[in-house]
Amino acid sequence: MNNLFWIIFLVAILVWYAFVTVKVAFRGFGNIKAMLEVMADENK
Amino acid sequence: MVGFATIDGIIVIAYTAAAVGLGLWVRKFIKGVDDFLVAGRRVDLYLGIASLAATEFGIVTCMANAQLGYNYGFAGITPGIALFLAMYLVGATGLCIKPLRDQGVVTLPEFFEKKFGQKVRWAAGVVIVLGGLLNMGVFLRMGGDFLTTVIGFDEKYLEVVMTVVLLIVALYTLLGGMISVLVTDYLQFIFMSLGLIAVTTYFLLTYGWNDVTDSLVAAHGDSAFNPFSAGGYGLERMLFDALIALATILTWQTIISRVLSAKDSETGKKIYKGTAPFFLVRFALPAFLGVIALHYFSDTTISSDILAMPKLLAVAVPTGLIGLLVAAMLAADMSTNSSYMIAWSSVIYNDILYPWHKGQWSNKKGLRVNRFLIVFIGLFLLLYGLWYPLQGDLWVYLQVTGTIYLASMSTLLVAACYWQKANNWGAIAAIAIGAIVPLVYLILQQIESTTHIAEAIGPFWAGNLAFLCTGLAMYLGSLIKPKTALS
Repeated sequence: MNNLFWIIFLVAILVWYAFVTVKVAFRGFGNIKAMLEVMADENK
Repeated sequence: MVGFATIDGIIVIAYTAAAVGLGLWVRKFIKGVDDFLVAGRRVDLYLGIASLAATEFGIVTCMANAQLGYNYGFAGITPGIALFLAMYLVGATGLCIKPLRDQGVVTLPEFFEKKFGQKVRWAAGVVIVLGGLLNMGVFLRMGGDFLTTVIGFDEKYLEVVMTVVLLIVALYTLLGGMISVLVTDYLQFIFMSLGLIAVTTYFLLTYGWNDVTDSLVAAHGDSAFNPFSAGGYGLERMLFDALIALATILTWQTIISRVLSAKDSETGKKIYKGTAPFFLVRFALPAFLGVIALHYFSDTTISSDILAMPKLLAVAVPTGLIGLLVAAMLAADMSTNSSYMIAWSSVIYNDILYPWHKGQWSNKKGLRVNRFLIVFIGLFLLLYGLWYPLQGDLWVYLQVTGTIYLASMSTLLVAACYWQKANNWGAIAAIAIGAIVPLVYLILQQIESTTHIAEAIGPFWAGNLAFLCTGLAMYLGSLIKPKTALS
């Protein structure tokens, strides 16, 4: 029982982590780009 | 082929150069103290999540949690579960963080000034820096220990590795402030995720699950799977984990600085909710690596449980993959150190030095002072890391030193937000008591003739006591303040 719970827990975390990493990587890049563009405009 | 080889060295150097280069490139966007300390408050949701998740995942976190996994099995994930629940709860409700962000402050003590006055702001700044720097004091040594063990350097190079890591971090933090921190955090987030996922999957596929759990049962029995099990993790420890988790989420400067940097309080709340599961991941996956280390070294004796995980990585991870992981860990260490340096320097500048500058110094002077403070913190880290002999669990050390400020700051924050009768008498009493209890425990632990007293009390009861006494001090201190003084 313990074995089954923890292996499911671990695999579920790994799958979620992989999915969210890809999502945050793409959208986070967009956030950085937008932030730097605004700062560059304000500093002109 | 396993172990660190030339190709791994190339991966590590290439990554480090790219991260530092990027960190230095963005410095041109810095124009004032606000840009330097909170990135001009322009952090959006996904960058906030990446940065917060990256900051709170360093080599120290990884080693501490692997040690918990090695010593307690899956029950060692308990602090991660507590942090996950606390962060999600605070993100969902906006408890304390909404009023905090809405005030537009840079640090927690600045917020306290509005309720308790300038003296409390100053005292809060001192206690935050004291607890924060003691907490961070072991980061550099742990990072050095990890890197020398995994790469296979001789121990005599430990100080050299520590100094090189510190210089690299200080360089881009000094020049680029929070913007450099955010950008390097983002890179670290990606590398760390890839490294951890790859190594965990490799171990899952390489070692049979039943063999691993059999080793756990042999070492720790049923308590390896169940923290409530008798003789295992312990109820007093779980209570302390819960208190620390909530206080950390509400007040830890490196965490709330992401809320304070967010473009508005709603974004801050979403960053918390979005980051909460990462707090579970950062405990669960390293703890699993600790469990694998226990299985791998089950027939041999390990001299130091804190080094079990790095030793496992050194001998069991394939060449190439180990390079990716070391680059990820180095990145993690760099982003954690840089975030922490800027967090504590922001409190020193914004709150401890406030009576001198009163917000009147020019941007140029403010930036110069902040950069000097980062150098000062770097020197402290180097000296403390070389000098302090870590005793017991690394995670316990982090919790106890963190308590110096977590107990009082969380009490002050909750009182400032939700208790009208709270006043500066209660705040000062809470700050004093919150710092004294854990400091006395640390001193008792270090003096040979009193070590047995510290052992009899134990770090968890000492921590729980600190929270209880701090809450009482705030309550009683606020009530006994004379009405004339109140008016």
